[in-house]
Amino acid sequence: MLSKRLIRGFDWLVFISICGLFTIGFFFIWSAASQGHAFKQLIWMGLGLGVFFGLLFLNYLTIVRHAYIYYLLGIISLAAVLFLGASIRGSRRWFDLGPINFQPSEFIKIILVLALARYLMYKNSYKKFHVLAVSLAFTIVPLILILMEPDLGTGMTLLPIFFAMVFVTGARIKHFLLLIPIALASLPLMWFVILKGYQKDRFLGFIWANTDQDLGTTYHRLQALIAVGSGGVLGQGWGQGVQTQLRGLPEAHTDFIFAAIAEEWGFLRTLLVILLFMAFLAGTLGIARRTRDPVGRLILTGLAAMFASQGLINMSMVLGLAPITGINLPFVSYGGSSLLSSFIALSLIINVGMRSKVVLSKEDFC
Amino acid sequence: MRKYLFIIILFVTYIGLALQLGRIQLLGHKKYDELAEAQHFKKAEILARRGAILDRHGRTLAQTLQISSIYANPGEIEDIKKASKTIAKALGMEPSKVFTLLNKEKKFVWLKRKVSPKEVQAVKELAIKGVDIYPENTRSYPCGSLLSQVLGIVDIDGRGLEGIELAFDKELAGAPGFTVTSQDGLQRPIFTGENVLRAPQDGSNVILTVDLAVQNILEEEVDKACEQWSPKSAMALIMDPQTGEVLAVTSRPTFDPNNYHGSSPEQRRNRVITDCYEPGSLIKPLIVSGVLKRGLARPTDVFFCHNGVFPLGKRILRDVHPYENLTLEEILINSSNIGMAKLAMLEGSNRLYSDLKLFGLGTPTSIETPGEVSGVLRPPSQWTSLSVASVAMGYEVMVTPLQLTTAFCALANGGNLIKPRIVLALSDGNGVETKRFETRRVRRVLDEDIANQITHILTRVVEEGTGKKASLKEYTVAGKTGTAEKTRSGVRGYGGAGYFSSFIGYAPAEKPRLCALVMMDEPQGAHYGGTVSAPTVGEILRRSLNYLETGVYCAVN
Repeated sequence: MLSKRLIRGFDWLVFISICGLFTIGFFFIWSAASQGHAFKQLIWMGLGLGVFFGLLFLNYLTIVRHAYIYYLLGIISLAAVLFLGASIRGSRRWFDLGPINFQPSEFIKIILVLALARYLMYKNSYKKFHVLAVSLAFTIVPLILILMEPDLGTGMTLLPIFFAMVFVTGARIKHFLLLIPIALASLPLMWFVILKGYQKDRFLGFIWANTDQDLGTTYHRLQALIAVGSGGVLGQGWGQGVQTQLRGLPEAHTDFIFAAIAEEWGFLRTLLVILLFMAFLAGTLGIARRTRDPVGRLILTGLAAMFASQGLINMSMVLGLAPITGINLPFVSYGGSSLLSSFIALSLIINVGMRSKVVLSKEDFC
Repeated sequence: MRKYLFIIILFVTYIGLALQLGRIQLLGHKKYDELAEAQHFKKAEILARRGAILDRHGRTLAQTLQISSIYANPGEIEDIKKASKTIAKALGMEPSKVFTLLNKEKKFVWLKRKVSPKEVQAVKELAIKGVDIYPENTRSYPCGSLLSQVLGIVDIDGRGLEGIELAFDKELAGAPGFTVTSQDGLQRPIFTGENVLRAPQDGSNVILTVDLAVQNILEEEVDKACEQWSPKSAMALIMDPQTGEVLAVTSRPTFDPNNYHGSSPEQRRNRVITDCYEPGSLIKPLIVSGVLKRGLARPTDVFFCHNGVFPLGKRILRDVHPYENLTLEEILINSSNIGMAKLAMLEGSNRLYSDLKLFGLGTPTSIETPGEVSGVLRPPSQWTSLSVASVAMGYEVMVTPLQLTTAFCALANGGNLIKPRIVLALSDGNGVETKRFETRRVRRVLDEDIANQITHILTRVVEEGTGKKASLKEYTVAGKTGTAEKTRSGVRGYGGAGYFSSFIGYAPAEKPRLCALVMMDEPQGAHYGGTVSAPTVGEILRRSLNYLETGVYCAVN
């Protein structure tokens, strides 16, 4: 049983803002896809909440203790999906498990946070370069595997996690600067070996938008902009968006759900989505402020960076600020694996919050 | 410290997102809304039926007909060989030609465009799968070349190019209707049941002031005259002097608007308004009316006419027949150039100019048909010392036949310059009149008694003067002859280049109903207006008045 002390530490701002995002997502999955999709998502939500509450009983420190094992399992499943995964539209990202698809890359993000937290946990020498290098290695291995699927969007969220965690723990700036030549050196590798043709097209399409040659690759981008722009101040009404309803908008219930919301809800209400994200991040960072445990702070930093960057990349893509990559809006987009992994991450955040008051208690030692 | 930097970065980026959202949704709304509309709605036009052009009694001069064309979808035809034989028989075509047409890997081939109802019926009876009838619109002018220069022509899409077809294109065309089909992101139509549909609004009918019977009379008489005198070109015009309505108008050469592709601009030009000429003696009554109006002379005043030879500066004016003394009336009756020069000199250049200006010379009449020119009436400041005498004989002035007839109508109707018009009214598809154009008096030019005095003199022109050949048993005709020498390019002065022979007359003189002008350019065999054009005008007036009074149209015998 959870003690009253733990329950008092439950962070309602974080939880309620996430519930708000999920509710908006539920209704717009309904509008953009179908009622069936929405209720399927609701089932996932129930499953996610079950996992969420179940994990709250475990002390996050216990979870972190086994982080390397998760990491190993995560890397193995990422490698396995490249060979055994179901090929959907040219990429292998999912295990086909009968009624559901399981996407390991959704979980590797959280595992990376835990593994980095585990590695950096009691290091008293954050300022050493080798700590930075090892942390980077932790990040690079899953990153490359994900890019090989290929799944540029998910892969890209790993880097902010790494940067945020080592930055906040106090890595030296000059060590970061040392990474720049390494990054530059890896660019040709990225371009010629890892990136697929269509990814290059999308990237070029983004850079040279509005020229004739890339009409095909900027089609999705334009459709999203049309959806958002035609929403105006008050929107076209739920279920009334021409772009959303008439298939003008690609992936309206998954990656482009933010565009569907913007079209049907308009500026004033779509701001709510951004505000809920900000409230969620504010709550998460609030917990990080009040916890006295450096491991908890590391986990919160990593997860905040994960959610913040994923939301940022997704919404920037919809708003024409970033190239189109397959990345969804956490808690809002349709997708089981993604929702489940998000609830696990949410559970960890709340978990740290619940155990922020007293670092050492009886249960910490069991 | 780093903690806060991290927090700041997070929040700044999210505020940036909100700003970008606002930029697209608030500032870009209009642009993106239009883009959305453009890709989701497809407009398809339904053509409106073009209105007809009718004469004043509703008789059709131009109309849009639905005509059928036969097409085939060769892919649907089972036995091409058999089908080509039967189709060829029904449409009167070569079986081998039909076979080549059908033996194509196409989904649509024309077999025969614009076929007769009989052929349509034959094809219907064949009932071959894959052969069908396609309705098309075609513009038809049932009277052929009659009034063709006024009616004008339309292009292949039915848009007016010339004449009334052009001037009233907007009214005739009507408003096309359209359907709006929404389409999804893959451009497939979606039938949502709310496809906006605006029914096409058929064009208005344009009702002309022209009377088809009078027009027929005019065309017949002009044809007869042209046959007799073989002029380079001819123009004729009949107006109602009381209302300014053009009852008939034509020019030669002419063309058939049903098949205008072989015609030249020369044939299609509505010369009555697009060309201007030196009127010659036709100008004389206008000038004399000014003299009378100002009281500079009385009709019975006598003028010395120098026995036909009158030196004026470097020039010598001559009369056709030498006269010693002529009264003012006789000057007009005998069309004495010398007498006219003397009368014009009484007036002087300024008064002469303002009188002619008052009659509308040098100003377009603003008739509805396009292409009207204003003619030439130079201000006295540009005249030479001989100009007064030249103008008095109808030179150094250029008028369109319509301007001249309009001016004579003022003499005929008691002194009012009436705006000439050729469009009487507009009506909708059911024949209900939607707009009527009223007679518009431009200005009073003369007092009624002066106009009547001129009319009286002009009746004597026809009774005993140069216009005897226009006189009629049934009606008193007032009229004036005109024989203008043409200038030739490159040659100074007049003479040797042929004549412009015209006659203008109105009748009955007591209460004129019609005013008719006939002009012939370089007639062969004779050149006096009184010889060439006067008999034609007389015959036109006689037959037209007869028709107007009895309502019975007598074809030429």
